[in-house]
Amino acid sequence: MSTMLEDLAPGKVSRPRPPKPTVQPGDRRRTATRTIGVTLLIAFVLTMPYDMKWAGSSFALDYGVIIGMAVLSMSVLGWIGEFTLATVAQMGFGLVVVNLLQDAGLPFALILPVVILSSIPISVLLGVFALRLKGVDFAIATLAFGYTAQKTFFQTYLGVQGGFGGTSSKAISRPVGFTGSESFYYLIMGSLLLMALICWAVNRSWIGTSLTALRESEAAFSVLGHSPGAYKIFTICLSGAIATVAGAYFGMLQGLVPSNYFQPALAILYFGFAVAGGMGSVAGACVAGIFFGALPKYFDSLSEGHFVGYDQFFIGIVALIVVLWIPGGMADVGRRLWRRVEGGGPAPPMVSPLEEIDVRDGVEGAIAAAAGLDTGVEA
Amino acid sequence: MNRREIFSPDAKRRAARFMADRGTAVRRPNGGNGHGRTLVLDPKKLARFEPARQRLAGQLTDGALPVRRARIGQREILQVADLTIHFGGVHALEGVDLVARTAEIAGVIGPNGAGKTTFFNCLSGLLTPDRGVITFDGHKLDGSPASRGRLGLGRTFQTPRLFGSLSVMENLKFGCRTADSARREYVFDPSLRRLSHEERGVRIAHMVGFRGDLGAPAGSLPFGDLRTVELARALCGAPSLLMLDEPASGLDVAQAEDFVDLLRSLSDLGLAILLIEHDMSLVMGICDHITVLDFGQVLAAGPPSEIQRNEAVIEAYLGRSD
Amino acid sequence: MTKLIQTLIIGLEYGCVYALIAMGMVLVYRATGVLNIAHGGVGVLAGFVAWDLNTLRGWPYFPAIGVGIGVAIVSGLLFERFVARKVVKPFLVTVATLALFLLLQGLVFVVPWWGNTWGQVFNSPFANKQVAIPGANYAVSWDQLVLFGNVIAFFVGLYWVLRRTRVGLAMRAVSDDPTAARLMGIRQKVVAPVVWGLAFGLSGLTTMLLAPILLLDNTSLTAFTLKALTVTFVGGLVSLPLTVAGAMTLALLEVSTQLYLPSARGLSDAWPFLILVVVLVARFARGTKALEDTAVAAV
Repeated sequence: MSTMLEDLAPGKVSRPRPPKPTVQPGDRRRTATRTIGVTLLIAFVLTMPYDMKWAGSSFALDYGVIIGMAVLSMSVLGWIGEFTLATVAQMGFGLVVVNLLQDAGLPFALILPVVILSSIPISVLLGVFALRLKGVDFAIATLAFGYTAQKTFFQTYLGVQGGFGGTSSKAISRPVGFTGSESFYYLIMGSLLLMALICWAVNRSWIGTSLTALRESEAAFSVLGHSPGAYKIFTICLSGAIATVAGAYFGMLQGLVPSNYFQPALAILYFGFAVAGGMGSVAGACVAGIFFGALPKYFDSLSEGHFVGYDQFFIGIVALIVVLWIPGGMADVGRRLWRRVEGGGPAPPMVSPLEEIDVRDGVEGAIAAAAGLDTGVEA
Repeated sequence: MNRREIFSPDAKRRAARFMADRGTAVRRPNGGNGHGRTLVLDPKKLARFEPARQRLAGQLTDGALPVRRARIGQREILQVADLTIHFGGVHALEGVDLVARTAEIAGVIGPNGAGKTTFFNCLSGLLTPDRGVITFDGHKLDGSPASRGRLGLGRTFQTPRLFGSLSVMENLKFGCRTADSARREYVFDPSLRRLSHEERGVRIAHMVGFRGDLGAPAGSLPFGDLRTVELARALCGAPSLLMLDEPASGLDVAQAEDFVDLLRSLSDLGLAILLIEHDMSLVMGICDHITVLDFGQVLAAGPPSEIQRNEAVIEAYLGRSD
Repeated sequence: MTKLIQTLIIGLEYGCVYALIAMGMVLVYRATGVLNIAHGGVGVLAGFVAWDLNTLRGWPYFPAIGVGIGVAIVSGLLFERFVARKVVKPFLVTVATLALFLLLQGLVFVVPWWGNTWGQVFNSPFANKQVAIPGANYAVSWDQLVLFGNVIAFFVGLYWVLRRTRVGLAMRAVSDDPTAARLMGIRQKVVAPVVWGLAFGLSGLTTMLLAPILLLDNTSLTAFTLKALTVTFVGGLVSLPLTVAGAMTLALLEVSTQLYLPSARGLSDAWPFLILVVVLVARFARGTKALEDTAVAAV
């Protein structure tokens, strides 16, 4: 009887035991490098306005940090394998909202949450487009949205001369205690770091895993019972919130904003930054945004106004180099460099979200798919 | 008498075979086994014996004893009526009817371009048909692919679509999450429901015959393993109907045999299987019912023996030598 | 009556510009699967080179624009050889064209003797010559006529090349499936440079036609590129006739709104987006079929 029961009792499924972690020879060096590196980075970030005084005023740095937010907002969409050109328009909305709220006398602590909430309707609208359009089609739609917003809403609202709706509105003011360039830097840098932290945490969580799966095979993802739409809208809302807050801060930085500022062409420029930083990478986006955002301003102050327009040329070349040789962008370079410094082995090749987007996701792709052809095979 | 001696080796073997044959059967209608006796088996108690039952079933199909296909509780789970889809001038599907039952393997065959994958895409919800009604488990099927997945429609693709940069276990967990959120029972092994995602993944991977590293990135697997893992992932979602699109293509003879055994066991356990395949010997050997498509229309439908003799099918596949 | 003719002429003029840019983009897309965002920018480069030669160095007009267009064609060949061929995936090439766009926008400022100015006047020999329209108080300039003529010629020519010639067939085959096309004996290395050279050359030509009518500058061409992108969407990036029709419709809508409803300031600029929405809704209405397919195609 016992043998029969043993036979029929639920068996134990043997699982390979995870190997005990052994101390690798390079570990101490790696930990030391990491600690030193992080400490240096923190020190640099905390003192950046003073470190960079030789190149120009802190205004340039503040500007760079805000561009960093905008680029982060664009890079985040790399998680679902899309890219947006409506970021600049969303920044503009943030600007308008903050102006309205300040006119209404709302304190700063309440302004930011309201700004974030106000970004949701627009994000949802863009999200609806994302459900139906893919790749370049979606980007064109966002571009058209940005263009229309700029020409209709902003031009009307911000007025022909610039500023806000005529003489009755005040300029946007910075919150109390953060009015100087350096102090404002700490406010926005803190915000950027918080945003980066949130994005990083999302990426590491099950949401990030789901987004990776969604990017790799939307069909398999949906057939398994997960809704791609929900994840797309979530990502777009996250991106929109960041962009809108960036716009609010931009208003605080500039005080008055000319009505023709938020050109869609600016979005293309920021997209170039995002590519250079590495689409989908949080750190890459921040670094690229700060670097390329501050650079032209510093260039201007260093060269006393001789180099207008050089930044576009420069970023064009950098983006081209990235596409040709380093699709992962600065993030990939940083990763490889860091591994080399740490002494680890060669990094596994990173598949950039850029490489996974297919530009033919339009009518032709649809027809090919409909004919039952497996378009997963590429030349 | 010593209780031990009641259970002679022969009796044990008979008992084991009895358990293997009955699967998860609960009740038999009167006179079910031909002797006028009613047999009642408690499902909770049976569930405890599932893993052993599976092992035994695997051993018993090893050529020695034929396994009687369990046909208990067989019911229609999928009804497709008049499914039609056109792409411009191309009539990809025209008035296709099909019925799939639980514990049955239904095959869909046809020459290339007949519309088989398009048919699956319509069932999955990836394509919207122009006309036709699909009823699944009593519900009219017209929602998004995700909602259909949650209802119990599992599917694999012609080319395995795993999430390459995620590990095998993470791939499997996607299915487990759906099963939990949709509160689905595992037809082929109800005890799985109580296990954690990790354990479920290990069990199901083991069941389908995946012997590799569950922590390895799915993109690094050899081709045969890709199919296996995709099947495991679909099974993790606790489907009641499993749609397999050319699952045996690219498998060698040994792998194909293992695969056939697996499908038979799954079908015995109550899973409904819909199969697109080009390997005729496999199809004729494993399918209980075959639907033949040609140019989007149903050319013939019936048991393999009928299909093999059907003139129109022979002509469509092999052509006539006149 | 004058207003109507004015609307039609100006509308056609802008429509031609959008159509030319859009056709260039559709050509590249049909043949390579790449969306060439730098299309307008290349033209600007060509235009500035021609302007440089003609106005700054005193070359005669037609050789100058010939060189300008030549520069455009050569840059197309270079781009194909060193960028498109290296970076095979269409999306990455699209991003590369975006980078190129930024580069070209900045180039105008980087070259010192082209000046930091925003726009240059670049007159053709046909400047100030007009054809009066009988019965209306309006005249069409020769530049505009040249523009119209070129657009028609290009549309007919492109359509014919893509549909009727072997080169065009080869281009379409390569865009559908480069591997199969190679197996059929179509040499990508020959077809691709032709496509890119032709597209960039077309861009150069567009600027040459446009510069006498508007200023030669880089920012307006950007705005046109954006509108042309919307227009390509109308044709689904594949249909030339629909693209041209879309271009003309957009332009006519914009101009008529500007002339007949000047008080509705934002409306004329909102048309690209409105048209986009209409096209999308039409695609929705046809059934989510075509759009859901992309879920399968995208993998």
